Amino acid sequence: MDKITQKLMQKSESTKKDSLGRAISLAALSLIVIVVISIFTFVMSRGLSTFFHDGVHVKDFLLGSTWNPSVINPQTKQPYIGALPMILGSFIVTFLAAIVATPFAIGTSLFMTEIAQKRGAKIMQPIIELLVGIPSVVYGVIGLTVIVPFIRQIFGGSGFGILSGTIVLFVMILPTITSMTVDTLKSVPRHYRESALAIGATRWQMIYKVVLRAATPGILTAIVFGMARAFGEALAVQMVIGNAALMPHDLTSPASTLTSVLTMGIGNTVMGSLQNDVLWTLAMILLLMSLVFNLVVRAIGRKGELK
Amino acid sequence: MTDSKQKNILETRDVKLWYGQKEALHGINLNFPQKGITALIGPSGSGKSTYLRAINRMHDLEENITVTGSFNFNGTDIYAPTTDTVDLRKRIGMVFQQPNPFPFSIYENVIFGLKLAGIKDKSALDEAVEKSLKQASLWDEVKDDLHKSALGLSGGQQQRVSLARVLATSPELLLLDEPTSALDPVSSHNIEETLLNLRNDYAMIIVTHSMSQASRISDRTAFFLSGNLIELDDTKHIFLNPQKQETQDYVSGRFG
Repeated sequence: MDKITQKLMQKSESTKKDSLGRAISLAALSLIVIVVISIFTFVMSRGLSTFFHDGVHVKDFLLGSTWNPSVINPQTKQPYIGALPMILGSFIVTFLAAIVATPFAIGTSLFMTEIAQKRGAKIMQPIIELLVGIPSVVYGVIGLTVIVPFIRQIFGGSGFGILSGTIVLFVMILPTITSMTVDTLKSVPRHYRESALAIGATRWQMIYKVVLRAATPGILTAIVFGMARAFGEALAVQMVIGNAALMPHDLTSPASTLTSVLTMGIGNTVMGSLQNDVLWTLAMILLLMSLVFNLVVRAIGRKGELK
Repeated sequence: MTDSKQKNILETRDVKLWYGQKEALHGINLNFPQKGITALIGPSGSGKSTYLRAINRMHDLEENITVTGSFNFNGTDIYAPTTDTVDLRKRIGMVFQQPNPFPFSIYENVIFGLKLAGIKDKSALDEAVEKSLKQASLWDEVKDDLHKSALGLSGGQQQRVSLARVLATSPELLLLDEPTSALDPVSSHNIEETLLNLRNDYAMIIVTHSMSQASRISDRTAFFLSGNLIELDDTKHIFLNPQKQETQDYVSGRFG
């Protein structure tokens, strides 16, 4: 084999670099996949051992309304591990926060993209980004020192409860939903707006009948993302919700969420005990819910594409 | 040239337009008769689209654009402070370069303008949809799919949906901003046929890059160059016997 043939048969320098790059990307990807699988396996195995190892009925866990894992129920010889109060608490604060935040988020994003683009970009954008970046403990402290006393004054009671939690979460998810809605509205093609106006729509008709409608899948995605964030938020909610694992019966009495019970309890239990396992089960529910939120987002995205 | 004998639908005088400090139109005087197609031709940047968009005040959407001059549209001063742009744009329809149906069904697209006008009667809407789609030569192709998304149509069909959407509102004047430049030759041909069928009912102004298109469909042609109107005449005169050297050079392909 002469030199030229040899040279042609060899991999070139760029081809080698190419395969190196591919190998690095693949390694990074595999690492992430391994981490995700490990987390899932670990949480699931701990969480499910409540049912398989400790012999708790799924029904008792999901529908039981008394939570006190360190006390044994004399009738069933099982600890009180009804997680319904927390499950309900989590869902209620999440949905309420999303319901309150959505109109504000849509209004803010419309203002930024359709009404005052320049001021929107100059003033609102940094503010929203700042709000996203504030650590949740700061929101919690403000909730504790401002909102809780405020609620106490107006509604009486301790001031801790679902209402306070909702208000704190509303402020926390507002920037998330807003910034994603802004991105969605910006991606609505300019020619939709032009042709709506050219046919004689007023600005509001254009926004309402064309822009918002074209952006609906994106806005729904933004709301679900906000809900996922609210559902998973632990610290700030824990500081204002009162952490009483009771069935929520009104908005201003102390309640709890999955996350708040989890963070409060996990340090005080022994690994492998039932008291510890049930907390893992709560974590498992959180994980499964975030999976559900993800699937919902994907489903909305797919539906949006088909249009 | 029949201008002088019939009342013009649109008379513009001394139209000047600035992008910031830069003057892009240097005083255009153009009149358009009640019916028929006027083509605006000229190289890129000659100001023909800019002029067209000034007619229905689309430049209002941009900042930093100043328009002066008089626009008399069937007795309405287009740039008078009291003129309602929403009402104005209902009377002046526009079709854009990119086919741009909304992401709704064909039916909803066509009735969009009518709904804005407050028409709710189902049978009137049905009738308008059929009539406009027929006018846009699209009815036979889509009559069974009216409630499917308009985005599933081909580019040429989408452009005819855009056209039907505008026709449904019965505008007095139709502006067409390079309506076929994003389409394949067959679709372009369909659009041209459609426009030819409408020429007796509507006043149309079409901006086009294609000189052959201008010569095929327009009654009159205006040649723009660097923000000036060089020449306006019957189409056949512009292409066969232009008066100005620049027009001669452009239509014979010597520059542009």
